[in-house]
Amino acid sequence: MTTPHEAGANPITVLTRRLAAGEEAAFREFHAQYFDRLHQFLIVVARGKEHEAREALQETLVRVARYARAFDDEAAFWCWLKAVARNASRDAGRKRTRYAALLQTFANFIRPAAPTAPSADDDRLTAVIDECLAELAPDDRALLQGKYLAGATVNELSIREGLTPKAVESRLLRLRRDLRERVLAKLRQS
Amino acid sequence: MKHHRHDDLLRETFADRELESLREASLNRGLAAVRTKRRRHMLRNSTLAAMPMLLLMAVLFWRTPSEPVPVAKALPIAAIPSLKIYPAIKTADMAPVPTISDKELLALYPNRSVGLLGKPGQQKLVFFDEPAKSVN
Repeated sequence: MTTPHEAGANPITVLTRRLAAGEEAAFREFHAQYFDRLHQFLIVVARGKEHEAREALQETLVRVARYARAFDDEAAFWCWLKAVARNASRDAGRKRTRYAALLQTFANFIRPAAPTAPSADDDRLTAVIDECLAELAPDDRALLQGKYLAGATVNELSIREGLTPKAVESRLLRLRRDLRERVLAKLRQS
Repeated sequence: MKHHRHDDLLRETFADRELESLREASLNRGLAAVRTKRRRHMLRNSTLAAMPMLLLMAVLFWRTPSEPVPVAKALPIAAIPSLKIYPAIKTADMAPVPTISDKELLALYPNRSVGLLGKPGQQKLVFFDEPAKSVN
């Protein structure tokens, strides 16, 4: 619940304070805002191994629920989230002992998270998806870019392509699957 | 930072049924962790709140004398074998004690050698035919 005192405060400060206080609604809000972003980040960290990324994502979210603390700005919070996610991924991958994981978690908890420049992992997925888009056939690339980068609707695209809306949706679905396989393959090679 | 124009493309590229199941499962697991955390916080706060009282009790315990003063143990009345308990007599149920004069008292013993000795109010009834036996 947001108090009148918190009404004018930074939204991330309010959210992280509520998370630290163990408020369920705050966790729902955090989950809705950061689930996809953390998932995409962990796909890069796990080098395209989706199963590992999802396992680490689950662990990351639980650790956030347990150890969340207040942050004054979004950059610092995202840095902390990335540190938690990387550790969760590493712990899952290396099957670390519980004791070592606890020590690492404690170290993350007491270490001040200073806002830093976006790491390579942040931009890596965007760069890879741009590379994969460039590899697609021009018609396919134009369709995906029209839908997701230019913000055209399916109806607008169907008029432009001379197809039914259902045909456009099917083509978009096939292209997304193709793009996903290409992205994961590139990440595995990196 | 990731470009916002890629957000929808990335989200829809990696979306599938498995991810949706994970979304729901991770939310539930996280909420369970939040509840556990809250319970621990409440327990910790309660313990901290009770700490002054516990400290006070500890101090009082340490300040009590080491050798306790002997105290007679009170036995329950029923446990004393020689003691007979009679039901209480109500004063209201008792008949009033009749008052008689000196002459009436002496007249109760017509065949005895009897007399009243002492100051008025503290007199004793003395039987002269029975030495050393008197009645108050």
